[in-house]
Amino acid sequence: MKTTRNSSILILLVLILAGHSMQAQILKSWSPQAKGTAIGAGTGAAAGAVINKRNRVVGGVIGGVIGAGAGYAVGKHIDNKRKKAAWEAAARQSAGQPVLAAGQSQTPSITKHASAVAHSAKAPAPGFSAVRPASQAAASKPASYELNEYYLTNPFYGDATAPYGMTEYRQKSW
Amino acid sequence: MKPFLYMSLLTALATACSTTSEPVNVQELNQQFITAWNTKSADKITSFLADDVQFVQGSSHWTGKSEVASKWVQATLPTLNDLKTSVVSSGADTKTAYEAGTFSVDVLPTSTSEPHGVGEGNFILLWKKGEDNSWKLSYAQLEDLPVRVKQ
Repeated sequence: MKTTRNSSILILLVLILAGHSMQAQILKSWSPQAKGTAIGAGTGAAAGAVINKRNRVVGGVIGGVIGAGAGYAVGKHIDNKRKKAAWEAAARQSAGQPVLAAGQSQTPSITKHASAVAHSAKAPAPGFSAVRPASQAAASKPASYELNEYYLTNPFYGDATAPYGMTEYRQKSW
Repeated sequence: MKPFLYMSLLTALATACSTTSEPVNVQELNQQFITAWNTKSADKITSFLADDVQFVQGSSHWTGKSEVASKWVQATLPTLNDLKTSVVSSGADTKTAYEAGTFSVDVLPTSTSEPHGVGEGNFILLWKKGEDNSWKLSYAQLEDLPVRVKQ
């Protein structure tokens, strides 16, 4: 009797392992968390059934739950790593964009109708620093509104008593 | 003869009264004011300001002729050229008059390495008639857009 049980468990394990590659194909479209949970639950259930010799069902259930939790955690970790890598790649790509004035952040976007998209971005005259609007940084992404002009930096930046002292770009004209 | 004289006197009186209570020509008033800016006449601009004039621009709010003359007129006058206004709304009665709309102005560089700029924005100029029957700028509010590099 005992031998039969052990044999059936072994067969089950073999089936699980053999089906793993097939599962992998199916799970490709799943999120890493879902994959981790499924794989963890399956493996945990099998392991639990093997370990708990007195009651295979209870062992399988407990193993399945623990395995599912552990699998989810592993999947989440993988997902976080992937997101971080993607974010770093995007940051490297944006760092490759031409910068007009070093150390200057982009201005808030000001709505202007654009014909601007059609205009090519002209380089400003050398010898002065101009702030480049945020919309120009995303060169290949035309927006419903766009700026194609450059703005002067604010000579009064940081002076709270000036009318527009807290804006990096110059705003006071009259 | 007498009725004719009375009639003439009454007409003259009515005409005189109506002249003093006529609304001011706010377009002309503003034109003088803008011309003073374009001719860089700080004294002339200041003479338009009421003693209790209020000026609002961005985060600044200045009150009184001397403060507004110093912080707005004298500080801004050397930095601009060719001020133009485009009136969107105006109105006048016997005591007050206003014009509001948009403006554009050439912004002069603060250093030789800087280019010229073009400024645009919105304005409202509110005039009030003083006790001496002269019209003075009582309230001015400017909302400037970022200054673009002149192409």
